[in-house]
Amino acid sequence: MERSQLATQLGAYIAEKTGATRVEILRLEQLPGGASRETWRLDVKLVTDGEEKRQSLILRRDPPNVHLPGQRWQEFELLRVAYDAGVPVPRVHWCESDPRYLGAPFLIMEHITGETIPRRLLRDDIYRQARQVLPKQLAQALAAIHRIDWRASALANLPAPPGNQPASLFELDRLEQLYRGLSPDPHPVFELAFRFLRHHAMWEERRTLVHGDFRLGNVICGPEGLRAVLDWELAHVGDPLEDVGWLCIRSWRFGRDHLPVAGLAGREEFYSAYEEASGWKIDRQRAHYWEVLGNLKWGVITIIQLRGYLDGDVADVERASLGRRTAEVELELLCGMKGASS
Amino acid sequence: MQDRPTVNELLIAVQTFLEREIVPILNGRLQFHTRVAANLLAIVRRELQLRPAQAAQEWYRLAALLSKQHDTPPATPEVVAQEIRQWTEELCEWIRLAPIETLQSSEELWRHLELTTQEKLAVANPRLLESSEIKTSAV
Repeated sequence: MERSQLATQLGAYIAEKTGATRVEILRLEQLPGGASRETWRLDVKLVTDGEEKRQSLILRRDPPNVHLPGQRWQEFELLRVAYDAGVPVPRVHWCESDPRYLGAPFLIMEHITGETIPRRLLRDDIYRQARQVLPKQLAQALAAIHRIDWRASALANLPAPPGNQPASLFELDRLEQLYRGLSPDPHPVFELAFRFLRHHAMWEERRTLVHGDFRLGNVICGPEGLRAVLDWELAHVGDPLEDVGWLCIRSWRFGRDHLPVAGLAGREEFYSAYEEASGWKIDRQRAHYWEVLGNLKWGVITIIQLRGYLDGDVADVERASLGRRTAEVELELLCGMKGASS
Repeated sequence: MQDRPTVNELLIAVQTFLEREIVPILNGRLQFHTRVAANLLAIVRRELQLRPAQAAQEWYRLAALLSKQHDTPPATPEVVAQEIRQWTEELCEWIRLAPIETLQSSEELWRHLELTTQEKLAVANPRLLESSEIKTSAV
């Protein structure tokens, strides 16, 4: 769908939803990144009975040929529930799973200004203060997410592991199925990691809502610190330490490997802040286990993206490049498995 | 025989053009994707340079690991690549079925996986390899 056609369709959709007599699209601009979901900045002017109102919005739309699971309405419900639980998130406005409006399912929400690009947050001077407070703020936001009641009816359809196996095994089944179905190449290191992680699987102490993609790149920050947690499409029920391990994987340190938690903090500093906010003790061994599993998950995601590129007809250099990042994960998996068995 | 510039020199020309002339005048998504595109050309250049030696090394390691009755790699690169792929699939099958204790203690297996991973990274991301501890442990 062309940009101009998208603008026309959006105008009609928003008019239908708000009852405005005229909707003017002031700005429609695709934002960088977001290999798994198109993100557009959308500013509109609504005219209703001669009264003008401006709104700054975000449109999130599925691109074609993407194999990531997750439905828009679920992200919509999660954002609503998280907002009520005091997690910093944007307010959501509308959600459509019917592709007849914009050619694909989409979600429209409040636009929160700020920075999402990890390299800027980790390096630019104006985020110096943010970097000081972010480890604690991220720990608090994560604890608040984990304390959300996932048995609430709005979240009843979230993927959840069966009661008779550890959440990690359920997650491994899911990842292995994706890997076997999508990988165009054999990956002996992944095979070894699946065997290793199944062998060392541990029972979680409790099951919670798991964000599933909690890291820099999926949060909005200002110079003062955290403003919003985004990208809920991989949320599920599981072991809360899954989010902790994921936040520590090498890929999300963006080169600042001396600070393993998101390139921002040492593990113990973050663990203490999380323990204080949640009231739960972190099992260090299981956190390391989930970090190895997190690296494997990132590896499977690089293969999903590669598959999207191979099956698509769009010249998407970002997704093409991710296929060659799978080896980075293999290196990390080999190090992680050695670290755990010694 | 083709005249200069060589394939590598042509790729350098395009990569440098993107990095020096195009990236600075763009912003946002296009600038990011242009950087990624220039990096992909760098990957292609390294692969063209390293592939023959890497393929031979990987072939010899797999032949030893899987006890194949071969002395030297086939003459054509395509056949070498086919055999590497087929043997790597056999290796995957072995990893899926072998006792976990065997996998954890097989030094030949770990050494092959480390070296193969290093060879991939020498093409895809040599800087990561330089900063990694596994390089010194395996080489």
